Amino acid sequence: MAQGFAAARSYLGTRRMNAIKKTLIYIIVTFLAVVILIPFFWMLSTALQQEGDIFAWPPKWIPDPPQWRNFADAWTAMPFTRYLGNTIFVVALGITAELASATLVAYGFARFRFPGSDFIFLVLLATMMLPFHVTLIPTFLIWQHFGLTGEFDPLVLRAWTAWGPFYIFLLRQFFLTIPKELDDAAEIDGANTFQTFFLIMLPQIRPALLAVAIFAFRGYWNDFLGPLIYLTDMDLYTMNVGMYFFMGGVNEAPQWNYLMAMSIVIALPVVLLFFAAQRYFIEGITFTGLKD
Amino acid sequence: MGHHLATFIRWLIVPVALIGIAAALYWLCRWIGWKKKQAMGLALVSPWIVGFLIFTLYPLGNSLYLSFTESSIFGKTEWVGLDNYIKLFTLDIEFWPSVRITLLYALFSLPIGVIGALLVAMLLNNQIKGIGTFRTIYFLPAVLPEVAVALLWRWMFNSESGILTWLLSPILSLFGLDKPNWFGDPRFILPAFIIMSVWGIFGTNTVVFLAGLQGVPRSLYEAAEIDGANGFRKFLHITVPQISPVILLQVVMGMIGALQIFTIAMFVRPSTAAGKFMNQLVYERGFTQMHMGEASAIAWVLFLIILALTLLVFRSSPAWVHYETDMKR
Amino acid sequence: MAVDSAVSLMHNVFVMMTTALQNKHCQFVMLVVVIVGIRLTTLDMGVMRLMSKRFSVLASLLLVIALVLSACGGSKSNDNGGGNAGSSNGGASSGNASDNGGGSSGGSAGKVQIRLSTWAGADEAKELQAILDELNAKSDVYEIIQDSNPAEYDTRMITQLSGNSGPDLFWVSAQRAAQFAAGGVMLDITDRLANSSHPAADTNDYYESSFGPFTHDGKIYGLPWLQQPVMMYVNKSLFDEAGLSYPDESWTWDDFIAAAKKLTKDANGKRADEAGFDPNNTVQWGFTLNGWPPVQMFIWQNGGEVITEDGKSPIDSAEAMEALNFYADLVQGPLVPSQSIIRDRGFDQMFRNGQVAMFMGGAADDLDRTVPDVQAFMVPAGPDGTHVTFADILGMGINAKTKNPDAAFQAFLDLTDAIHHWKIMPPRKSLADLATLQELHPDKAHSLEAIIASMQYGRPYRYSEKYPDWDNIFWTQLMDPIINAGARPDDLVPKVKPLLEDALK
Repeated sequence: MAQGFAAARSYLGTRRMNAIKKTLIYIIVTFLAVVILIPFFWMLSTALQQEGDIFAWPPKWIPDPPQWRNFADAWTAMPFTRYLGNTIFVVALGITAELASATLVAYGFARFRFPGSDFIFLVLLATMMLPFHVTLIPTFLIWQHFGLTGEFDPLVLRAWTAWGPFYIFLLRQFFLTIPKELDDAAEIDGANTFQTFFLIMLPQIRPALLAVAIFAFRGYWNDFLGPLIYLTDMDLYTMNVGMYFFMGGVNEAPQWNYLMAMSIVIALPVVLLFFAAQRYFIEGITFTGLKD
Repeated sequence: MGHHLATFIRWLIVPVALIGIAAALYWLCRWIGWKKKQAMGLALVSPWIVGFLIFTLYPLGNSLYLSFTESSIFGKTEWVGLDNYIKLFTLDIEFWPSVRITLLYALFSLPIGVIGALLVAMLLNNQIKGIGTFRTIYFLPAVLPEVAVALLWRWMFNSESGILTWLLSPILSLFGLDKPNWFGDPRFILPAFIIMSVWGIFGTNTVVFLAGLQGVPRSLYEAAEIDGANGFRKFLHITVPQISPVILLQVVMGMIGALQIFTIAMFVRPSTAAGKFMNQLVYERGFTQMHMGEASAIAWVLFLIILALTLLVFRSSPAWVHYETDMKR
Repeated sequence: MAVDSAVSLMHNVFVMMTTALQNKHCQFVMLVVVIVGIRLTTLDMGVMRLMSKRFSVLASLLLVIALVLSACGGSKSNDNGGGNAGSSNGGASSGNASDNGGGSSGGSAGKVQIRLSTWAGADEAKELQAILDELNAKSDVYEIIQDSNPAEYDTRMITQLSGNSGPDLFWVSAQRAAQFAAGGVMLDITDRLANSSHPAADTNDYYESSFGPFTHDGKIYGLPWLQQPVMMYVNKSLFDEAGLSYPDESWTWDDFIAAAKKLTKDANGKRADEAGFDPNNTVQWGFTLNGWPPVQMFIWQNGGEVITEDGKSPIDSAEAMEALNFYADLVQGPLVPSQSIIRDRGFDQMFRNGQVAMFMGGAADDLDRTVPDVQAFMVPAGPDGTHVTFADILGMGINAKTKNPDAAFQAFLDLTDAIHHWKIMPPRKSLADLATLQELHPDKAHSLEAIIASMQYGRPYRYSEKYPDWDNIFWTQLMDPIINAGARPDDLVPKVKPLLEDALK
């Protein structure tokens, strides 16, 4: 196979091989992208349907006429402006704390060996393994003991304790890909722990850091069960919880068009954020000095 | 507004307290003779430990305790020892089918998820025009709220007009199966869920691998090309080892996620003839039938399964995971 | 216990801080101090400067936006001044009984704040709020605040009720009511009801069957606000097209099947009772079935029982077996769409689209007021004329741990009565007057006669603490295989019956 490859390359010339390769990649990437987009078109289509047409048979792919006002109607059906404010509040507090603490904790796990560090890391992983329903009530009771149920606190305070084990795990793994020589060089230059952390470690894993920032944003933005259980005042609801009002009730069918419309609206900020950030996943972090 | 302000202020106070605890721990460790690096390590990790002690230890312990009791959350809790576990393994008709379908699902969906995400990330790791838009599109599946995803799947699995049926019916008719009843026929439930797991390739998994691939220095590839390596060899000897820590992450996370599948199953509500997923069983036993003791027992069995498998993966990791301790070439 | 004391230490610190922060002036001063503090410390850290400055600017900007939006976004309910539920001063330590003593107290003008949890969706919540506004205006004892969301209602309720800071009043389904009553979650209101002269407190006025789920050991723990008998919704134009007369009280299973056959058509227009009918090409079905309506209804109509008072499950009796086979034949036969089609096109959707001619749904369903030419009739009687229908019951309970039982009880009665006048059908005999109801619900006026007539035949399940266990087995081991896998009752019943009776022990 390798010979065939080499033979083809010498026959066609490297430039043309690259061109073929690029075209092939384009085709596959586009095909998959279309596959991914089809459900989203359907979502948009449902969002624009009139009440009666949503499950018409045979299904109407293009809503006729498209009800763009569904977006406005859904937004005003419940106080979503207020919910938006609440959501931004929770997210801002959440990701700030989460990023600050998760990076530091991951740094600790990645670079510092202390008695029991392996065991503690294992425990950290283990906390992800227990189905969450059995810890739901005891956790609620703890917050209640602090008198903080009904407030935003259960949603944002824990972020300071590096709440998401996934983020710690991810950052640790990425920290571990950084060669120790960099640390040593920094130490020789007289840097302390925190200077090494901010000036060497963090910049090295910028792609991962951005990824974690986006994931954390998405996590807090889309968090549903937490706000549902801890927020009792309807004024404090977040958007995700508010959206469920369209699920109808005992004798009513869900309003799928409003649901889809709100889903799209809620998804937009995360998408835009990703689009803006992915530019910074720049290829080939080059660093000078140590290598060669 | 008062709620927001109050929370904000408490939110500002918490890190101060945590820094204080970390500093105190640092000096304590130094005092008992730990080296600087060791003490710093503990201090850095301490916020997580504090959170764990307050918020996780009690619920963990509580659920373990409950698994040895008969408890209806509100009513009496009485100690029954190993009864829950014994009944689960011997008498419970739903337990073993549940374990079976959960393990099978994980077994098939995990490789698909990890390999698929890696391949897609490699596709996206190219500097072709418009790659930014493509990457965003591939991330889209991750931003959908669960209710939208469930509805989506119901539509896609529509056995008459669904895209999946349309795509797969040529293959299926070879086997003599026509218009499968995806969520009603026990034979099709597992395949349906495995197909749904393909959706999970896109979104965060691809992005994580992409971040990993971005971190592989170009110089390594260039050097290999000079040595005459082709695409496949570069992949095997440079890419995979370089991102092996990330692969480990994805394998472990993927395994934990697959074994704990819940939300989509609850929304779709397939026929239960083939068994319910274990996490579903936990919820139903605990919240619907109000047998928190049984639910906790099932949860701990699932926990132990996941733990055992994870340890297995970690044990095997020195063989294939390559951390950058030095840059020998 | 070291953990306990550590936890209480942190708790007390929090409480100290939050009570100090009740004062709005204090809050602002602290805020300024903290923000200035952040700026000062970050200015200090060399290279960090750039990163954190942008960061803290961004963070503060976001926070300001958030605060402004949430303050200006419009409140969920009334616009009168005290509308901010859970007012900022009382909010912080509301969960801790030992501290301020007042859980939900401290609202406006000395009225007790009563929190009501419901599963209301967008429209229902608005209608409910209008009712609450009226009640709150009339009362000088309580103020009911609504806390609604249809998502994960059970999980939410159970979690919130497990501690001391749950709602004062909450809606509850019959099945949950039986569980909660047995678990001591709901307040025992037997004596309060007996001593009250409120119209909604007259236990004799309620239909017998609607009370069952709310009683336990002879005591009453809640009140039903809705009893919905299952009705048969009929697409009259499809009936006309087939030349059939509409259902009446004399209909039995045979009449029902005969009509269903005439109403099932294939693509060539052939009816199910004609030669040459092609069941693989059906475009219209007479009926639809997917586990709903419940088979219990048919068993009762045939004189059988699924759960007896002494905890037995005689599903193997001749009457029950007959009904089970009737049901199995129906769901596996040509008169009802396949389960896969039902999943694809939507169970009730197919009736709305005119593909199904008869549909059994709750009396409060909107089928007869949103779909043209649809009317609700009584469900057919059993072979020997027994009229019985399944009645779904919804109600409300008072949290046993409520801090204001008297105010809560008053609110409870007023609200129950108000809901009786809002929804179809109130479980009270005195309110079952045709003329009044037709005035209250004009869009269902044409179905009301049949609905009222069905009320006396309505029966709920025999709920108990063990009912969910029984139901789980009944469904997964018996009904699911019959409906989805083509199983036959004769094969399954012998195996399932002992499991069912075990579950009830």
